[in-house]
Amino acid sequence: MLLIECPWCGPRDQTEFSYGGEAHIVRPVRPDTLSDAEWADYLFMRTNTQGRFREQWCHVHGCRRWFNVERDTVSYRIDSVYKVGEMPPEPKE
Amino acid sequence: MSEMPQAQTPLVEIDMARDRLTAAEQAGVVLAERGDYRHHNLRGDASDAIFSEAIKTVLGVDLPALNRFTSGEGHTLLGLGPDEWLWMTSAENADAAVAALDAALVKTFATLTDLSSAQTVIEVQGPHAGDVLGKGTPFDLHAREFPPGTCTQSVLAKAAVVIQRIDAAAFHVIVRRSFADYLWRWLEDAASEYGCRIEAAERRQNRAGTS
Repeated sequence: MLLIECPWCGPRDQTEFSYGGEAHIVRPVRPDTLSDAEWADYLFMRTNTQGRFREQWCHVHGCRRWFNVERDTVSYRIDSVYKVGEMPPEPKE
Repeated sequence: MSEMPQAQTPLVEIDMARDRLTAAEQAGVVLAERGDYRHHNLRGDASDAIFSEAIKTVLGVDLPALNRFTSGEGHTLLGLGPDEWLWMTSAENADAAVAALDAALVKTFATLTDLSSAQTVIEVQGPHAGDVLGKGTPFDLHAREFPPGTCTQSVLAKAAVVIQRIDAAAFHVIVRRSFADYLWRWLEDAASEYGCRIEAAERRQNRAGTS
């Protein structure tokens, strides 16, 4: 089980959250100008990162806000948590 | 014309008259339904002075921070999210206050949604109240983390709830009505090892009469 730090509520159990997949996927400004392949790429294609990964979580059984988590997909270590619209803090090596 | 439909508590199937433990002093946990509240979901921008002043003027209580609640003058506000509150009040206060809020909030963007029929309150009190709730939630209910005056949303026995800490040995569990019967039975079962007493069957009549 993960202990996830909601930026609004603080550290909470993973059972209070739902997962939202890869973060920072920007919707194309003019979808009507895209080819089917480009649109499908936006809709369906996600990176399958091994290592540090930026992903979306929603505190569904808490404050119901979406936020971003930077997590290592190998060790499951959470490096940072930040609100929607923000970029992750510089990684501390 | 046929008889008007009557609102009834979601705990109508629970036999409140059946007392598990007759001696109140032996009860480690006392369960009671507090169906006599009106619930409204309130959303708006706390940094908007028109909004926060309107709430303060009409309800007489300040907007609480997230996961805290404020009470006074018959109104309670619980901070559920950065822009979301649960307002609870009695049936007698509700209609006048809704009309006053409606008038006061007309100049700004805010929403007020009546949830009175959607959820109910189960009061869990007694020396083992925290132990019983702790069996079903991952949230830390220790007074150090969760003192009186705080509330939280979490899961309790897999049901989504709001837990409100009234004092050291009393909690209010606000639950959606479709989960209320299940959650009550779970609480009775979880509390049985400490001695569970069921209280206030007459409140059911209150609920049926007022809503």
